[in-house]
Formats: sequence, structure tokens, C-alpha cells
Amino acid sequence: MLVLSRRRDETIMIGDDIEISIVDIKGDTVRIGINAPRSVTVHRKEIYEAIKAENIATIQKQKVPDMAAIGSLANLLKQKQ
Amino acid sequence: MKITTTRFGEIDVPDDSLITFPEGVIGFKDARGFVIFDCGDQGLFKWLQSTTVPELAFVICEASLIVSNYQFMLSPKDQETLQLKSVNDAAVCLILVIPEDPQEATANLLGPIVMNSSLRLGMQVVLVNPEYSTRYRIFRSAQTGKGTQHAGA
Repeated sequence: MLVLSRRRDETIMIGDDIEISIVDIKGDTVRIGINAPRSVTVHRKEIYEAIKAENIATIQKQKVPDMAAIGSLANLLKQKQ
Repeated sequence: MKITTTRFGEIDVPDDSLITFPEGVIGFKDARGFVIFDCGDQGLFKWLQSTTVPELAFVICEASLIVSNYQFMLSPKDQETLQLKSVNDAAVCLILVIPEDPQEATANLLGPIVMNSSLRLGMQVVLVNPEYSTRYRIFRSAQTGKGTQHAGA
């Protein structure tokens, strides 16, 4: 891993078309500006990881619900609306 | 076509029921083929079953059944993946977890399934709003799922 020190308003380039700027620094929070082509996806890693973990947990625990459970869930949803 | 599943054994599904997920789902990027079929006889819940990963299947339903005011921005990249021209072509579904006690059911609001129904394309979208939960308690939801009601890009 490459580790760089940057000050506020300084930028790094990744390849020709991805620009990462340090917009602001306050305490232990850094605001980062990202300029990237539309084809590049930018996520907070912890959100991606949370969804991945939930997908895996879901397929492990989701059995085929019996008809009674499905029916009462449908009723509960109707009551809620 | 015949597909092998963990929950239903070998099932025969019509070729035209196939939905392509060009990027798979999160954590299963190679699982590009899915089929949808009924879960229960209410018509509200569906199984989203992978055609290539037998254990990969989710119960899904339309997001509007679970939450009102559920809004998010679809990035230009996601719109391209789904080849979406109009929001009217987008079906937004949530992955549910239905335990034995349906009162305990949860929905994943942070990673919805969005599909282009006419082109039969789908993807799991990663929302940028960290205040949405992956385990929104549908029936005891005061504190858990909905934070702010929109997610900016």
C-alpha cells in the first residue's frame, strides 16, 4: 500500500482520470472530494461490506417459510398500511 | 431450463423468466443469472433464485410494501448497468428475512434490488446513505431502519 501525506486542498491523481482532493480536515474526520469517470463506482467500504455480510447471513438463515408464516406476514403488512 | 437449487431441488424454469444481473449481487459478483418465482400464494413475495449458485436465493418484495418515503439516487453508472431510461421502468425490491415468527421479519434497506422490468436486467444497489439499515425491523421499526428519508448521490 502506498501511503501519502497530503494537506488541505491538495490532490492526488490515480491514473489519468481519478482525482482525490482533501477538502477539509477536522479532528479525526477528513472530507474527501472524488472526481472520477462515470464508469468508476465509489463506495464507502463499510457499507459495501455490511451488505455483503447481510447477503451471506440471509442466504444461510432464510429457509423456505411455511404458508402460515407468509400468510401472517402478508396480514401484518396490510394492517401496517 | 433446469436449474439446481438448495431449497427446491432441481427445478425447471421457462427460459424467458431469466433476469440478468450484469454485476451479480454484492458478495456474489459471478452470479449473473437469476429467476423469479412466487413465494407463497399472496403474490406479494417472490424468490429471487440464482441459476448458477444453488444456495443463493432471497425472498424479495416491492419496497413500497415495507416502507413509504423510501428514496435514493441511482448513480449514472447504475442507470447504465440497468439501461434505465425512465424511472417508470425501475422496479425497486427489498430483500427480506422471514423467520418463523413473522413479527421479527427484517428488510435490507441499504442494499435494495433494482430491476429494469422490460429489459429483464437487475442489480443490487449500494446506497450511500449509511442511516439505512440492512436489518430494518418491519414491525418494530421506531429506531432502526429509516434515518433520513432520502439518500443523496
